[in-house]
Amino acid sequence: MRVKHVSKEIHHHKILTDIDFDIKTGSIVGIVGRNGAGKTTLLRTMVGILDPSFGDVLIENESIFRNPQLKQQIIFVPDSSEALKSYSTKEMIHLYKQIYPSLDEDYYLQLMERFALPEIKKIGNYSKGMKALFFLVVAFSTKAKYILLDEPTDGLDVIVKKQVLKILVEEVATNDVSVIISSHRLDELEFIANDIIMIKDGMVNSRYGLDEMKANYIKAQVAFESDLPVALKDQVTILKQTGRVYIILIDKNHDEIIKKIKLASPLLFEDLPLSLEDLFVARLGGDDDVS
Amino acid sequence: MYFEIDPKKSIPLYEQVIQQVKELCARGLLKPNEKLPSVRDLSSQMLINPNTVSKAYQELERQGIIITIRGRGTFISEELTGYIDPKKTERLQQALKNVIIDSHFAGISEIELKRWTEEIYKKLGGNGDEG
Repeated sequence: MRVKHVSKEIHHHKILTDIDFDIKTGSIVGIVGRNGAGKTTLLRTMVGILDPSFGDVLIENESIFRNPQLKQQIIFVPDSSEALKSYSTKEMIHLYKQIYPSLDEDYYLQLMERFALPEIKKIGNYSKGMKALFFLVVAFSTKAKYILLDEPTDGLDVIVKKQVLKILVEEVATNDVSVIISSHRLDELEFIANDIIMIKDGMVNSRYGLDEMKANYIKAQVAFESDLPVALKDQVTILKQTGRVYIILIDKNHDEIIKKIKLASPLLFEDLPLSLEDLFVARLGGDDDVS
Repeated sequence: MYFEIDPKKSIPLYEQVIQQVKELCARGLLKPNEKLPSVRDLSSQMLINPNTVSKAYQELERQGIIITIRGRGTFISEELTGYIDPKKTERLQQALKNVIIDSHFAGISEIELKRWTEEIYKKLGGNGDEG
């Protein structure tokens, strides 16, 4: 799947600007960004609910907008599905079967049993956790190749959350589907996503492979007799400072920077574990205002 | 068998999987010819990306620690016990030398370092020379 130079304007307001990336089959891609960065708009464009103002979304080099039948290969699970709550589970499957002819009813029943989900007259009567699992079960039953999930674990308890992550991982391992997740739960994405795309102000700010993230960045705490040397200040990202102790993020040519730190005879220089959250703050934070 | 990721470690996830397999072997919890969980099962158990597990298995296979038999699964290599790789020995010696030098400058005595070594052997249990 390729998101090709997608821009989206809503009421003359630019929401997405020149978003461009591809998604390999059998991968889990995390889309992260602050509230209002355009994540949901991006997902809704990728599934064809919204038309991009410019650019295109391609599956095997064909536009999903010019070949709407390609949309059968993509399914979007929004963070809340209010519209369908008065449907019964059977009606829901019937409806989805019209949209996704490849929906596998046996597989659906199998997954329903596995997660102990009863068939129900009104989906709205499911608990929040059951609803989340049910929509995932339906999504994976459609046999769509691309599953787009908006905040799939938001507001779920630990046990349901683990079930959700389990089904994601297993589906990717067994059926070669690709899962695209927008999430704020960086700690979860960190382990299950093999690619992280960071969105800032409607643009792709950066993209990391799971392993290169830890290879390309070092988080450390340093302290010097006096202040952090000026020569270093521009070359590292300061995550935190307490007194003379700095928590810093060193990126790219870190050998050289490490040499400089050592030459400045630090009182303290220790590696710290790096999390996706640190990168999130370093790349997307900066100011404390909420947009 | 119990695998767990440690989010506090700064090494990549697939290397953590590799290390854990090696550690389980060193502690005798995984024995030659023993079957490892499938990529699907291990990733689902650890809740990590299946590609991470595949990558770790590929690297372990390249190092001769495991073998994959098509249609049957992944197994700990038969020749694992007593296998000594000369290059590896050299690398380990160098790594140990660096630790000793660093310790010296950190003011850690030889006796203390030896005590640590013994403690680690004890913790790993059973498989050291002293039993």
